[in-house]
Amino acid sequence: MIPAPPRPRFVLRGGTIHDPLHDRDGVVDDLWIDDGTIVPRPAITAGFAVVDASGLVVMPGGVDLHSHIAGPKVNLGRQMTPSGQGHGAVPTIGATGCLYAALGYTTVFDAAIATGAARLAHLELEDLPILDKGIYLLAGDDRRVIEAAARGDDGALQRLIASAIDAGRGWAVKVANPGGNLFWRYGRRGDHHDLDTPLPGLTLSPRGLLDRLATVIDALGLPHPLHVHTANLGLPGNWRTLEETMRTFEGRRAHLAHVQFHSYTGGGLDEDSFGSGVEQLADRFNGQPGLTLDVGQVLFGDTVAMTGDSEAAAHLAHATGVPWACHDQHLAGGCGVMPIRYREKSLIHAWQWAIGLEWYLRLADPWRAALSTDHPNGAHFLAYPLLMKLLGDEPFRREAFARIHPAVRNRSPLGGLTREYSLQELCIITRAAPARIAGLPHKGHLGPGADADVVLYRPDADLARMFAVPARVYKGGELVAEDGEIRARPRGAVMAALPTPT
Amino acid sequence: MSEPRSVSLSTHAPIAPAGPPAGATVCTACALLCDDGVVHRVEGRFERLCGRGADAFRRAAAATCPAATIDGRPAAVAAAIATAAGRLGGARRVLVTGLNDVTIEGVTAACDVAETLGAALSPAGENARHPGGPTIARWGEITAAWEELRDRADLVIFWGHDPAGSQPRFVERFVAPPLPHPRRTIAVGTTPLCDPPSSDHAHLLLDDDDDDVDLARLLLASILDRPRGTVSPRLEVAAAALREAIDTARCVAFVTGRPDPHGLSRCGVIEIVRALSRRLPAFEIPLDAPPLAPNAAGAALALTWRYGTAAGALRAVAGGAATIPPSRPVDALGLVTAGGVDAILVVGRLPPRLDDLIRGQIDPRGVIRIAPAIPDGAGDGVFLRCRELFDETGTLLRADGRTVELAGGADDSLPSAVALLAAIHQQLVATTAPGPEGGTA
Repeated sequence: MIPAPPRPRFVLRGGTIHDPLHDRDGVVDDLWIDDGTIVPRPAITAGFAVVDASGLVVMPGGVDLHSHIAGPKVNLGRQMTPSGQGHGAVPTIGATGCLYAALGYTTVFDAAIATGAARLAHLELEDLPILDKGIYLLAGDDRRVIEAAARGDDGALQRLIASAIDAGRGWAVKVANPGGNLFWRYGRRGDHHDLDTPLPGLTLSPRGLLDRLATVIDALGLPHPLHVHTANLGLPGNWRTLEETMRTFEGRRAHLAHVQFHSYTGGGLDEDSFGSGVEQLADRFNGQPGLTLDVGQVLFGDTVAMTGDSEAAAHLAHATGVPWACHDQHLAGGCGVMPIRYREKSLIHAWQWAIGLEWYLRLADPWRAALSTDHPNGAHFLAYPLLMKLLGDEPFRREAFARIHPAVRNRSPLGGLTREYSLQELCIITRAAPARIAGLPHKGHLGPGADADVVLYRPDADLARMFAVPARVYKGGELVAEDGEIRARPRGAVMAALPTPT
Repeated sequence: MSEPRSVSLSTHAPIAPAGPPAGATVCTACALLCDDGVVHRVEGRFERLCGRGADAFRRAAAATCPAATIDGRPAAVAAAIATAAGRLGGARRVLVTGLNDVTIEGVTAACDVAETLGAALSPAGENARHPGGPTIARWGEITAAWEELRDRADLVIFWGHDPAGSQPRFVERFVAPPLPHPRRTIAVGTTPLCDPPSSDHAHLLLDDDDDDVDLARLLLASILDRPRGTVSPRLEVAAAALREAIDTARCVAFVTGRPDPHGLSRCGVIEIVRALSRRLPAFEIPLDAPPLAPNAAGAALALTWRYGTAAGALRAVAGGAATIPPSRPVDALGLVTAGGVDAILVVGRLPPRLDDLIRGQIDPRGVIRIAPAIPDGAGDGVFLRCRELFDETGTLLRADGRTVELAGGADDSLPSAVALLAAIHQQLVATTAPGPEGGTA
């Protein structure tokens, strides 16, 4: 085998470094890079090229820990929103890599791949350039897994999860609407359930399933805790389900996915009762240090909703009447896909937008949160710079708030929240925290030993402009993008966990 | 920050293929991809294979042709690869086609070649003219695995389509197996099913194939309790019979697949399934792959993730740019007919119509074929013989989204299509002057 050629040695000289893990907040310093890794200042600096980074903001490469970029439902999304240039709501796999890289992101996870589709997803990810990538397997929805959990057989549960991760080369386990497909499969259509309703034919409840899965995944030593998309996604009043989900994990680790879609008050058919349950939820979340989350922010515009929770997709499709592609609705790994347009003047969409932002602004510890739009569900990942501006620029957010549906303006607590994220905090929720939450000790920071995934930004009072087009993006020490132009397309690594059953 | 235990960063480590049971071989004679058949190669015996499958294995066993030819004369494989790369690299406008009977790995290897050449790329076959995308974009679809039909649907409606012609064992494998409770089947169309799958089977006769569009409208109106227009008494009777059967069913499956150039027949079924799905489990089983396209679904999927459409790309570019806009679907037939192709790389077999067209339209020296056998009448050009698809290692996709792993067969004396494509690609990369690095993201 021919050894790979050594990657360049260079120093980024005089950049303004943001490295939250090492408490460097806007410190002017040099960053030494050798063969794809960040190194301490070497004793002998000869042979290191000098790259002038003075005046530029230096951050680790972005880490998106909850996105949808590959697999059957993503390709259904591509078919439903065809784009002549491959850069539509659901970009081609090649464009996905290039667009992420040009945005300053160097690592991405697809958050929902059915175990049976893992082989296909990996074939597709082979074609994803530049980024390091991994998948979360929907192993918690498998019938045998649910039956083992129902028997209380943690040994069998461990073996099943470990073999799924091993065969599917997964990074983590995601559960989508725990046990939900069983309700539909056995005839209880439209019967949205709470966490304590026993699954049809079993004594196990969704809460019990979450409990066993979280325990087993911790025992397996997977780098990322159980990734939880809880029940009742998108339904009025579902904030109680999310609160109960948090209660299930008291004293333990779990990651709560796209919490925005699970934070609604209200109920029945009264739209006026729809609102935000974030304050109560954030209080509970802030007090449970084992929990982490991503928000799944909605931003206004056209996109495509896609979910492994095909029952939630069915509900939305029937409510909206839009074209709806659904495969294997009643089976583990089923999916639902539909186009959606989020509008400022829609009561529901405006609430979703405000609820997502409220979540970010009520978080006590940004280290426990990852910025996400649940791409493409809430918005395209290309909208991340806009989201960063909404968080870091309160006057800009106030202007946007003034444009949304008047009922939301009147009732949402968002209008009273004046917090602004600093550059350091934005750095935390876009790279340092997601790397830590995903279990990537070599990413999300700029200390010696870290992967040399480094982004250089031009400082700009307009945060959206600043973060939209980095001056330079390095992936493993290689310059991959410069001012929006792709300079190289390394393949990137596929990351897979090795479970260690105890 | 705590270090996770036992975490690896592995790059492209292979996943062990599942493969068919011991002694069995995946039959690649049609898109059904039966993996329960057994081939006794030495004795030439077959178990659980249809006539088409058995014929395909017999033909493959009897095939004799050189490993490579250049302009009709036997040649060394290396020389043929070099000549192929030279002719493709020297051509002004290249089309890469075929693709429906190679593995997904083969399709992506062909994409690599096309991208290096800036070639057009489109799968062969009539289906490429009507890629699923626009239909799905307009109406969506509700589908399920074939096993879901087998294990659950107590009412199966064959909507203008008899799978016996395209997927001979579909009914045997997925409709005939008994359920715990009775299964009813109904065929809607101008001709009865060749082999009715159940004792409780009815044929609702239509006068014309397109009558199913009116019937669908009528049935939908009935399901939704909407006013219905005036139609023929025969359609009224058919709609009433379908409604009665649906009202007593627990789970309904519609099997579709008749030629439907405007998508109206399929649209009708999609709307019915959508309306039904609010009340009971209901789904469509689209069986629209052409009979000689075992991996048409896999090719469509790989082209979708690469270029955003199952139809391929007018100019294949890494990163997905410059794909065919869906408003201008271009297929291999159309490109060759238009005379805009002066060299063609054919990977796998072609439908006879496209093969005939290529012979009439393209300079034979510019035709490069990678296939298990030389097609009749192929003379000049370059031919590279690859393994039969059932002897390959790799991944195929059934039309219902289930993967089928090929674990390699008895004959590994011939190179795989992937290896030949990779060799051509390597030569092209070596001989192509490097252009400006990168592009616009």
